[in-house]
Order: sequence, then structure tokens, then C-alpha cells
Amino acid sequence: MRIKTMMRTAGVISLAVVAGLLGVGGTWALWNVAVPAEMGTVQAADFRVELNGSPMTVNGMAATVALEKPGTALTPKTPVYSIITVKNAANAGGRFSIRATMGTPTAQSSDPILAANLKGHVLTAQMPGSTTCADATYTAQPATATIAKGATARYCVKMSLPADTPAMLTPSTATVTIPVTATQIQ
Amino acid sequence: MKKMTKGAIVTGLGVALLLGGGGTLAVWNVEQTANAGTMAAGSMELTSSTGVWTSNLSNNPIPDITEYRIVPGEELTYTQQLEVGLEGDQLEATLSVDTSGVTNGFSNNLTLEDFMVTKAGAADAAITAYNGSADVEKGTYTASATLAFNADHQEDMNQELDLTQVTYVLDQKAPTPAN
Repeated sequence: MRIKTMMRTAGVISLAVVAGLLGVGGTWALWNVAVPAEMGTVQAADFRVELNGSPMTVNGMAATVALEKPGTALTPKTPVYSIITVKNAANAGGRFSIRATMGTPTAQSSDPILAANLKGHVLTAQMPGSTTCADATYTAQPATATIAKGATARYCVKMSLPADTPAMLTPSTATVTIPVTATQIQ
Repeated sequence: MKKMTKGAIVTGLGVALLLGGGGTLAVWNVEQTANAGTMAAGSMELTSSTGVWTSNLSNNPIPDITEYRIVPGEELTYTQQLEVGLEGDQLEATLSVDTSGVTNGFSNNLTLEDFMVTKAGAADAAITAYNGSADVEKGTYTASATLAFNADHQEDMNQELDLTQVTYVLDQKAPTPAN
């Protein structure tokens, strides 16, 4: 009777141990260890290009550019100039250069004769070393420049009228639009 | 009769004395140390060194990836040393990379490429699948992974790829009993 009691007790204890091990888990499993790679988080840069201090947006937003000498009147003998600055303000971690190109200018005016006379007479060029737009060399080709990260390029826009422009245009006004394209080139 | 009784009593006392003295009438026994030695369990360890990010646009390592901003056309590579410790005569293990916790805000333009785990002087272990695994042995391994930012699209400025949960896992292989 006493032996039977002992055997029963031993059986109950054994079952309890097995149940306990299974419940805790791990003890019966194969080993495994893990370690974090600690790779961190990778973030893309912001392609930020500033046109005369204002941020350009993708497929963008117009920025108004003042004349180099505000109030200067445009006549067949006196062209007027504007300065466009393009800054590569991207926050790229590595090397990051862009190419900024002035597109073909277009002139709009309530006076169709003025608009017609401006056609072909709005030209762009890179700003010369003298920083005076009158000294720049203008061609029919759009001005372009490579701009490194954090750097700024300056462009000149020359607006002129041919010598045979009718005098009756005074005091008409015109709006000149120049598309500026900034492209990542690395 | 009395003499016989006395003789028996004396004889009994003599036998008792002989038994009390021990030895002479004991059964044989010998003793020898088994010398089975001491059993010790093995161990399995995995440690990693501080990883290094590099860019294909520079020869210098990136000091802090959290301050770095990747751009289209750029490739970043993460390299790290792993120390695999396997102590156990029958201990075999596989190494894997758990990327289940990766959060990717990019629109298919930036992905974590396959991990490569190599060991100098031994058969290379290549974890080629995104969540693959490879057999490893004790020693130092080099793990590397590459991120390539697709240059064909304009999307994904300022997006993030969170790799903080990437983990290396060393799993023991189930031993195969001898037949």
C-alpha cells in the first residue's frame, strides 16, 4: 500500500515536470541566437532648387524676376536686362550636381506688335565675370550651366527691340516667360 | 550434556568474535574508478561589429546614415563583420537575415537587395534570397547588402526606408542520429 502511494506520487510529479517544461517552451527547442544589424534608416534627399530665392517645384511654379535696373524703359536703342539665379539647394548626402537650362523665351503683350517685335530678341546668357549683364555674350542658344551642390548660377536675360520698331508702341508693356529646367546629372 | 552445552556456547562466542573482527569471512569486492570525465554543454554565439555604410559616389564611409540623404542613381552598401561561435562537436547552424520588420516608404525605387555573407578561406555562404539562409561554421563572416535608388523616376523625394529591425539569426540545425 505504501509502495503504491509512492509510485502514484512519483507519477504525478513526473507529469507535472513534463507539463511545466512544455508550458515554458524553449527548453526542448534547438538553440538560436539573434543580433540586430543596426542598419538605421535610409532617407531620400529633397530635390530642392531655388529660383531667385524661391523653391522650384517639379513641373513647377512661376517666379517673378525683376529687371536688373527697375524702371528702365525698353527702346530700340536701350535693351533691358533681368538676372535669374538658380541655386542647387538639395540636401543630398553625397555628390549631387544639376544642370540648369534656360528655355526658349516667349513674350506676351496686349499689343501684338510689341510681342511680335520682341520675338527673337529675348536672349539668355550666363552672367559674365563683371556681373553686368550688358557685358554678357548672348546667342540664340539657351544658356545652361552645371551647378554643384550648394552652389548658385546666375543668368542674364536681354530684352531688346529691333531698330525699325514702330514708335507708336509706347507705352505698351509685355511679359516675358522663360522656362527654367533643372536636371540632376550627378 | 552440560559439557556439550558449554562447548557450543564457547564455539558460538568464537564465531561471533571472528565475525566482529571482519574481513576473514566477508564476500569479495573490488573497486575501480570509471573515469567517465566531465560533460559540458556547448554554446552558440553571434555577435556583430558596427556596420559601415558606403556610397558609390564617394570613397569615404558615411559617418551617420540617419543624416545622409540618398539620391536617384546612387547605391549604398552596408558592410558588417559577424562572429559566429559554435562550440559543440555535433553543433551545426544556419545564418539568416530577418527583414520582416523593414518599412519601405519608397515606391519600388529603392529596395534592400540580397544579403551576401562570406567567409574568407572557406566556402562562401550566400544568403541570396531576401529572407534566405545559409549554413555557417565557426568564424568571422562579412555580411553586406546593397540599396540601389532607381534613377528612372522622379518620385520618392524625402521618403524613408526603415532598416532598424533587420536582424541576423543563427539557428541550430537539428542533429541527425547515427543509424
